Amino acid sequence: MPREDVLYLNARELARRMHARELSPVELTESYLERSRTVGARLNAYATLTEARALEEAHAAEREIERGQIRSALHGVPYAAKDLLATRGDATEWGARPYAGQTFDFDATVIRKLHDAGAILIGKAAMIELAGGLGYRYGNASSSGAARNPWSTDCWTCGSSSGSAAVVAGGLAGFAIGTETWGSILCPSAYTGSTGFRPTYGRVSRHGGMALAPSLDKIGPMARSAEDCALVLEVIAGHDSADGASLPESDALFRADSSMSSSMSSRLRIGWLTNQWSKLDPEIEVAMDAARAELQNAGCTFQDVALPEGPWEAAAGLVISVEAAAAYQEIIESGRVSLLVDDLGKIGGYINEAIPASDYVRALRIRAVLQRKIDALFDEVDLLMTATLPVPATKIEADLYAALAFSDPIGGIGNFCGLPAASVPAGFTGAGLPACVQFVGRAFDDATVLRAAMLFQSRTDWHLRHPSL
Amino acid sequence: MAKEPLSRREFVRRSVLGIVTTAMATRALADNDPAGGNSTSRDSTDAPALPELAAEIRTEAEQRYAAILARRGERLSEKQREEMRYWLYLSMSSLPALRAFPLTNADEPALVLRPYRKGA
Repeated sequence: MPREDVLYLNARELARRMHARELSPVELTESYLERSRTVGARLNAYATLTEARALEEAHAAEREIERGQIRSALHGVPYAAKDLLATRGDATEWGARPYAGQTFDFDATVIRKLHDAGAILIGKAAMIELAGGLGYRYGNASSSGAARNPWSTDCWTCGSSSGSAAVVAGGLAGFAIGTETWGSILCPSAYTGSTGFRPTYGRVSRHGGMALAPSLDKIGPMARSAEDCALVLEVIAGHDSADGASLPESDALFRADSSMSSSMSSRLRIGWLTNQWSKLDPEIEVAMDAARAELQNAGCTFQDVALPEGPWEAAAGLVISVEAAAAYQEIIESGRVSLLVDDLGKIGGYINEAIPASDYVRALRIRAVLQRKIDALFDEVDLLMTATLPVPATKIEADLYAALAFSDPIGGIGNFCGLPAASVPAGFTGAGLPACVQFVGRAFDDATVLRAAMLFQSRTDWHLRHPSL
Repeated sequence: MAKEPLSRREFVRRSVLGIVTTAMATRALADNDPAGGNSTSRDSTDAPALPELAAEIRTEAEQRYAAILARRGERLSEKQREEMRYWLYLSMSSLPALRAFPLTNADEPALVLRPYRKGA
């Protein structure tokens, strides 16, 4: 059976070894399942393990690979999917007690695409209840409890893709699928030192995924390298008529090799955000200075960039609140929100459903103005860059309203405008917690974001480090 | 890199309930946090002090609070009612900025209808 260090390899290397028949997909899957049952349980990483399906898919992959039938660069690689993605026959419970026992008789489009590519679903990753859609203040806002950070198990993983982050950082699968409405891929990626990617809105089909705020929801990969994120994105991207917001095929398609040309990377013009975080943890700041220096040494140029001033976060938050109230209308109306874990979640829907339509439409009008303003920034730079978060991972029992009490304008702007972004590890604090940097790109310029992340990872080894569990 | 710390007024102005819904609180509660700003305890039983609102917004907040209670109040404990009022006030504290943002008739909402036809 594979050694532990093999389980921490990136998906690309795992696949290479399997396709060269140096590693068995079945043995790899069995190893990840065993580790998920043990280490995964300690981390509260999973809502459900899909063991029967995983072994069936692993055996099929092994047979095909032995016959030389390689479906994709991910053929044979085990992965976990956030438990808001429908998987035929298995429980899909959205992290929320009101939906305990919920099942679907179909696979979400993302799941189907990964299946067709030969990836192996080993489990449904734990998540914050309803992806945080009705509000939450504590990391245990989940029917599976608080997910624990593999780097320090008394720290949280952040959310709402909490389990997906634990899976990746804890070496429980080759990669994971997360989602982001505002922060739910980037924050857990930053807390756990994973590499997370949020694609341009509409590039990846949400069909079969729980809706939170349909005009902001995005699905994306979480992995141990930007290269892996690109490989996963290539599989899951593409037009889907079942998703009303899906981009046309010409815009939705993504080719991983469009990001992998290092010869283009050194000419990146990077805008360092000057008005994103009001204050950085000193150790995060040290890591950011080093990250900038590394990219400058690689030939990238930097200039200071200020985000436009305006009520962007307020508008984004209002839109999310209204759309979430609509998405969860049934449990708000019935009162089954009282079954949620978090006290804020139990009442948040009642507040959100009272927001007047006039404010919602006003926020959408502001959105259109913002889209043009933020796009104009990219006339001068290829990317925006800043720390993913100004603080390292918080304690598992922390009141998030106090512990994460800072504005996040680029998070609001980026998600409100559907912009692509990546978080990559850029160092560690003295306490051994990850410090991460984020790149945000122009709409549709996912390739440049991933190119920057790959360039950074070609010159550093932070993403190669893993905790001892 | 670092900006000057936000004033209390600015903290309140930037508060957004929606951000707490996706794991990222967007305001510091240095002055208004019922738990004192850095608490990890959820044992406080004191009613949270309501955020300051402009008079007009405060009136609207109370009207909205009354409407919520009229519709859902029987489900809520007294503590939940108090907490809901606090979160309602917080979520409305950014409305003046939202409503004051200059827009013209030409600024259409970023919400597009895609005409549907089977097979198209």
